[in-house]
Amino acid sequence: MTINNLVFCNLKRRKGRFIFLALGLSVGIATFTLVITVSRAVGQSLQDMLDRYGPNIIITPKSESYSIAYEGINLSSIAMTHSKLTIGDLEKLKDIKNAKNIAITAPKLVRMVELNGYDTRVVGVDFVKELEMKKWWGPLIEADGGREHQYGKHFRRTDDDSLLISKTEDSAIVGYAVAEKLSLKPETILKVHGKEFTVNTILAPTGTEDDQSVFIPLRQAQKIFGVGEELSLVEVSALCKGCPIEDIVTQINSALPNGRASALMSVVSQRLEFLGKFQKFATGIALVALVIGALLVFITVMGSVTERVREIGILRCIGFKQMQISQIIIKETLTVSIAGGIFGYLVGNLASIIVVPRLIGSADASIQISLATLAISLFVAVLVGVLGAFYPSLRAGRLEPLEALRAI
Amino acid sequence: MPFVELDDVGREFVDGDRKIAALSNVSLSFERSEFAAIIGPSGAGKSTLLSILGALIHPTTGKVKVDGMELTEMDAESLANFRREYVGFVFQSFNLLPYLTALENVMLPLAIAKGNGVRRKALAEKALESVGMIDKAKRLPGALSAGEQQRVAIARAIVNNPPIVLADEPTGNLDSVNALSVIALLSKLAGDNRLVIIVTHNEQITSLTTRTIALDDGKVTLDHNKLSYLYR
Repeated sequence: MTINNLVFCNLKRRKGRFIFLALGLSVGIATFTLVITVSRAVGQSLQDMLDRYGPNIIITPKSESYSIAYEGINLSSIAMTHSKLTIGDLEKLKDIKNAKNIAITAPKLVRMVELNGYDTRVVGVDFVKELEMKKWWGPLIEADGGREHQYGKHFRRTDDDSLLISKTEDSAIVGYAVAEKLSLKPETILKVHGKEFTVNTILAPTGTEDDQSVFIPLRQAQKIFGVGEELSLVEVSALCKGCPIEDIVTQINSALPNGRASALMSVVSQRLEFLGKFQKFATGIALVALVIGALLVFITVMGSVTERVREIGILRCIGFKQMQISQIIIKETLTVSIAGGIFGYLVGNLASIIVVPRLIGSADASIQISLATLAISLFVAVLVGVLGAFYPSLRAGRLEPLEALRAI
Repeated sequence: MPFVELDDVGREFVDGDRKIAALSNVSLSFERSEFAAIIGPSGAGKSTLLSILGALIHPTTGKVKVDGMELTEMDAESLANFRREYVGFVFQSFNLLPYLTALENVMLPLAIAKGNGVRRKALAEKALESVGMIDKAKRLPGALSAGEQQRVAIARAIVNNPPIVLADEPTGNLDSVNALSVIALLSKLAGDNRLVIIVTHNEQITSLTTRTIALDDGKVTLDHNKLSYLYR
């Protein structure tokens, strides 16, 4: 008979109570594991999504100065230097150190032309990349005599729709304000520099300069403006995770001596702030679950100590020290905590496997099951157990033998 | 020097604003091999005296010396050590842990003592044998009669061979046959160079002890040592 035997015998005797405690703790640990796993997976997914949601780096020709504005970047209509950015330059981006962080590159050629008597911005774009980057783009939908009328194709519906637009070399997508000003509708023929384009879609208002733009295929734009492979700018959507955006900008600037890359820092910081808030929220939920777990341990162990005054009294009478009594209580709780921790970890991971793909909407959501996570879960379970059992064990140890003797 | 010496011991308990004197000016001394009975009406201070002798509580006044050690100067840890090495307790309601077998209950005091498991088991079996319970070593207390449980409790009290055995109403829950058997067992322990002190309401038991101490209202009213008469 040792203290460990005593602990084991007591666990065996009160197995109902301890199984309940282990289950309660496992709920806390499962919640902790689930929240941490989900927050990690969702955070990663959100980051990837946010990084793909619009550009966070703009590349312009190095010394070119334009007076035309697009997306807050001033572009000149007069070429000041011979430094040019071309389609071929985009290939160089594949060789930079953090090439894998570059999710989308959307090249553009921007020109001001007169359309139906109005100076209008015409933007040559790669439709597939543009639609991939600007996920908020959609056709204008207006009420028309009690019915909704959609102005053009809803090209976001399937990938095939996007490809259809890009493959149509004489299609144009028209910003909401331009369409209104020039009275354009789907299927209207629009003449740009003598070349006819069919209006494919009127864009719903975006609140950006896209509302005042006409988008035509990049190749056609380069051809009708006679600029060869020249580009006005390239919008880049880079994945920030694991690589500071400044590093990518530096790498792009080194790779493109004729270009000047600059980060849209406000966009980056907004995204990081959003991710930070999400992580804090997830951590908050995990902490609440753990505090509830600790309270559960506290209440259960406190109840157990009160129930065992008689037993503690006997042990104190036969010479058990305060510390040895506390040791029995703590060892019992630790055993239950470890069991609850392992079970909670397994349940938490199982729940993650079910929950994460539904939250992210992707079956290939990455859920990392590792020994390190198991170790963290066990550590947290033990910590919760010790915190919850600390005061009751202290109280049990401090129980005066005579006080216990009176209870006998 | 006596083995146990109480010098002008007093003990007060606080009940709200009131102070209740459970013991006043008790001076007693005991030697090994004595088999003493403390008798008296309820509230006379018998159990308080036993608790002081067993180092479960400190007296409010006076001094207690055991084997030359001043108990009143000891801290909680030293008192626990003292109890483990010097005192075996026997209770009226046996106080065996219901989830441990008879053998495991007897081994309890050894759980915190030095020594290996084999030796502990051997000591516990020896103690059970000395009280005639070795054949029921693997039974849980619930499967034993009251008399058998008290025998196991006595085995637990003596397993680490303490020089003092204190019994609080050890026959209180037993029939007369079992009571007699338990008293005989305790008497035998005193014969093994131990000081055995029992608290009892049963004055008949005093005929079997070597010394009778009567308490009333916290004071010693009689201290009758039959052996001293015999020696005289």
